[in-house]
Amino acid sequence: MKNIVLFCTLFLLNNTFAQNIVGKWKCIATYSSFDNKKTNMQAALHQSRPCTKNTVFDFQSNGKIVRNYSACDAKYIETQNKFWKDQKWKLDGNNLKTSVTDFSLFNEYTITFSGNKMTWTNKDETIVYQKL
Amino acid sequence: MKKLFYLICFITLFSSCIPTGGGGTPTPNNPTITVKGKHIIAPCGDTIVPKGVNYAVYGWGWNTSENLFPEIAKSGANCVRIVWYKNNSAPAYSNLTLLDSALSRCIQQKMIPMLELHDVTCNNDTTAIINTANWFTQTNVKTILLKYQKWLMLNPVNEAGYVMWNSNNETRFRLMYQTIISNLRNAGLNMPLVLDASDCGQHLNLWKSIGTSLQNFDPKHNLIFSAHTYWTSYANSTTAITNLLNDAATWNIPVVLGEIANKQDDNTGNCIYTLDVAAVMQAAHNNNIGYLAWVWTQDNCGARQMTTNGNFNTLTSYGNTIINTATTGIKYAKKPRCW
Repeated sequence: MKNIVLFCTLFLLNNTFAQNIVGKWKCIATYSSFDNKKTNMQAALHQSRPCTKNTVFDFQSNGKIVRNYSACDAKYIETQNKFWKDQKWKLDGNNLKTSVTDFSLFNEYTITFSGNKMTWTNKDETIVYQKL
Repeated sequence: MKKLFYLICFITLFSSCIPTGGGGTPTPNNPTITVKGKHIIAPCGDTIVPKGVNYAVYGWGWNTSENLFPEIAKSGANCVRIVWYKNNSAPAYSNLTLLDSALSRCIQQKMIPMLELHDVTCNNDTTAIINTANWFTQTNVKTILLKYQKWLMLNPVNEAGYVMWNSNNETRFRLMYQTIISNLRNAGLNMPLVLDASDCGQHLNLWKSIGTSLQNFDPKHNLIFSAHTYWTSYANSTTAITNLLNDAATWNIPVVLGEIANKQDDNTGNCIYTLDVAAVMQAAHNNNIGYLAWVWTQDNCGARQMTTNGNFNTLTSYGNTIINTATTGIKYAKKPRCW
């Protein structure tokens, strides 16, 4: 019984208080400075292409970001995989860099965790992920 | 006294119209547009920054009576990137008289034509890409191109070849373009060749690595390096865009953005990604980098059309941004000094 309680507690902690980027996430919001961070562009994407609601972002411990668009059609998956091929992440403290060009070009964010959410912010955008 | 006044006026007026002769610097009259360092030089020696639009002439080849160049000219554009095909079932593309006419009409409106072939868009088959570019060397095509060479820029293939998507193999891409450059130069085409970046045109940073070596390779040293700003994954923030274009301005090679847009599609018919076109325009303007907006009319993505039906009086909100944004818009484009 004790073990079950401990397991449940650890499971809940892991899912409720994620503090590590490594793992599988779902992107639930992207706010861009294009429109003064007013519109949730991720929601707009989900609306125009519902299959993207199920996209899984796998931030791997080797620094790779793998996107799984399993719910979408093959053509869409092929195109997206081209654009995001070799996307990587690098974390230094709370400074996060992502890049598709092995960091010759990169986006830079401040990363924070709250509950099961991970938020990336910089002056251009705010991106929110939810732990799966 | 009155006579003296008229005489002075007469001399003053006419002296401004007389060539300066031995003491002044004569206006050059080069046979083609050329480049120097990062600058693009018009035939009369003035520096130009191409600003304009993309236009798939004759309604993507299906409407052989369409002529929207006078409408585009109302925008203030100094350059039009003309979409053409080597092989396509639309009737216009098999009629080279129509190509001649399109180039002529563009120049008549005082806009520089940049002629591009769209056949191998996002293709990675180097044989197919090189064969497509060889279209420019066909005698019947070349005759037309030479007729307009003073104002013409050639963009041999649209968005062809992979580097990032091919294990960062820059060598293969560079060799492909060396072949294309040799073939076109050997055919006597001396005008600027505009080379699109790899990976569907997006990989601007590639030119930092191989731009100078290609410029040195070209016997005419007359290359312009282009990228298309579908940068959802590549440089998707104002900061990244600004940093990239600021850096590009230091490479000492001429850079243009052959396609800029407000939307990026996913190649499945939906243009779902919003792009910060205003940031691109601003950063390009700050660095004297030219740009050509995609597209004047008739796109699969309605939101990415600058006009509803091709007439200037049907400008869309996006078209208005591209044309009228203060100081960065194409209405502020500088026209070449002479035509």
